[in-house]
Amino acid sequence: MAAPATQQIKIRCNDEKEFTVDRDVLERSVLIKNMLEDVTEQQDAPIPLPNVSGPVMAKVLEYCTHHRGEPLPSADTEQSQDETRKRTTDISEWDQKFITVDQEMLFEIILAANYLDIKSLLDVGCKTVANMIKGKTPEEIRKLFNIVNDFTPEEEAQIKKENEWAEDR
Amino acid sequence: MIAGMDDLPKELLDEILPYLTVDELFVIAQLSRRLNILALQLFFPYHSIQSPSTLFKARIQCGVASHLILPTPEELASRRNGALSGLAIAIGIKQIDEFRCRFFLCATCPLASKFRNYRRLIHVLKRLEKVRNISIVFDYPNRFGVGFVPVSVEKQRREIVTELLNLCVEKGCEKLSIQNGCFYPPSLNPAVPPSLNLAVPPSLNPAVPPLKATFSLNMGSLFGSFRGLLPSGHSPKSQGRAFALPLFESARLQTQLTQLEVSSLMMLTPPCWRWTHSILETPSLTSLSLFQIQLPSEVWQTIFGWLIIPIQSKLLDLSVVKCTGLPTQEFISFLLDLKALTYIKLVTPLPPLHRFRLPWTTKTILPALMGITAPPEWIVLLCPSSIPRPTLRYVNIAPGSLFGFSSRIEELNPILKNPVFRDRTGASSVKSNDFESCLIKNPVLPIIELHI
Repeated sequence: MAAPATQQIKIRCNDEKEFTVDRDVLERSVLIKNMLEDVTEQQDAPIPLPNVSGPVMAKVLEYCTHHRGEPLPSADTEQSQDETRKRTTDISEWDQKFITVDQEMLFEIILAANYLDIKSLLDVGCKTVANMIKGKTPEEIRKLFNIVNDFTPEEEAQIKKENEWAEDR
Repeated sequence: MIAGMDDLPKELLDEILPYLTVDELFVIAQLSRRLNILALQLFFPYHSIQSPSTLFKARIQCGVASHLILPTPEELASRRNGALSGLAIAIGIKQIDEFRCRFFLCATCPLASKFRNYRRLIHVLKRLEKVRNISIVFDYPNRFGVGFVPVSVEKQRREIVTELLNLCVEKGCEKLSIQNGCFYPPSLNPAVPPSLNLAVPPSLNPAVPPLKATFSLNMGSLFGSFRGLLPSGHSPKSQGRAFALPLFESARLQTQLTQLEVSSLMMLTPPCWRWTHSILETPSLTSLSLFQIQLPSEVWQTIFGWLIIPIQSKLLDLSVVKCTGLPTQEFISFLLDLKALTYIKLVTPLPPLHRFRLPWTTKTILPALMGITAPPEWIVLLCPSSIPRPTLRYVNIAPGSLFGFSSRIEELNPILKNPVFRDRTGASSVKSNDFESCLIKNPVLPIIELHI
């Protein structure tokens, strides 16, 4: 039997794609980490991950492999809203390159990171989306993210108008 | 399959949106109905806006921005419109029915900027369709506190107050409270809201029909604020009276009056109080609140003499807060005659006021209260007493002035078995036998309610 550090874990995605990964890489995911801790005996059956597809999992594993061994953010990072507010949108160079994917993949990664409970990856994804929003007009954002404008023309005009008076002239 | 941002679940959008600035959030709010709601929800905590469905509370710091989003001076410069955009966003929340806004005194803020903000406030209020309860606290008209108020400033403030009044009438508001509004009263539209609480009396047009439900008169810092406006040759005393008399007269005309609040009357002469007599004869009066009134004890004696007869069997609520000059004996016998009383709030004057007159104390009052045959269910004390009272269900302590409080905690402890601490909203509750530690943990707790 291999030492825990190099223990191999099998996972199976929703498209039947299977991965065999080092345990410490997989443990970046709090979800899987907890699963593994719950299971005491050695299991050969792969861990099913019904919410993640193979291509997305491959990306997520790429991230986890790169960041393996880094300390996990502590569980009690309960930030107050004010602190949350001051979060920067800086992303490290590697992460930036990693997250440069098409939009569908970006959202899939965010969803997977959320499901698998990988806080740092979730942050990277959310920051990326936030950065894409920054400095754009509502119309540009709608186009970029495929958002359907379901306001009535009157409502929209009203909202725009309300914004104007707030400018401190 | 994720087709766009709108398909992301709410929990993930909640992760993304906090990275955006207030202005960017406002852009998001314009995208779609769903994002509008999410962006606005996120916006609230930054602007001290509580529970958007019921209560909107915006803080404006004199044209700068909400203090809650001002971490550094640089950010302060770049986020000047934070609170204002907050107000703008509030417009989008149609269900707001209660609106509270407080303007903070800012010595460096130019007057023009202040008045712009008042106008914006009215602009916002006009657009809040469902708002029924408005409470505005203006900053002092004078950056040096009381004293001289320039005529031009007073004029502009009066315009604002008049606009607010008219707005409330148009909307059919149930309650309007304005503090530090203006000092020469605006003329009133006949259809004022049923509960009107102005720092300064409305001008008293005899054509004003009786109000329907409650009427509370809050004279604010009437006397002190007037000084600067006095024409030469008028003494502060007569000026105060000139305003108080028509105020009382107006109240007397309200035949349905159920609630009377009189606050901050200083140095008023006994003739003024004769007018209160006529108010207190109003058969419907059930609630009386006296706040921060400084009178000589002879005047108090006369008042109690008057008060007892008409209202002793009907008065349900009584608050006597920070009043000085109260003669203890007369006050006690007055209390004993209030047979229907279910709620009493007694707060002793703050220490600085002791200099002027020996205050009555809760220690002398409480034994008297014990003798009331139908005991009050509620009693509100600033300085709790050690007198056990088996029927007492609530002790309501306002920690506004906790002077000497800790020494009294031990006295109180035997009465309190498992006190539950709550803030005014009832939102959070702490179970603890340790009074003091709760207070230390909650230094800004508005009111602690003890259920015994």
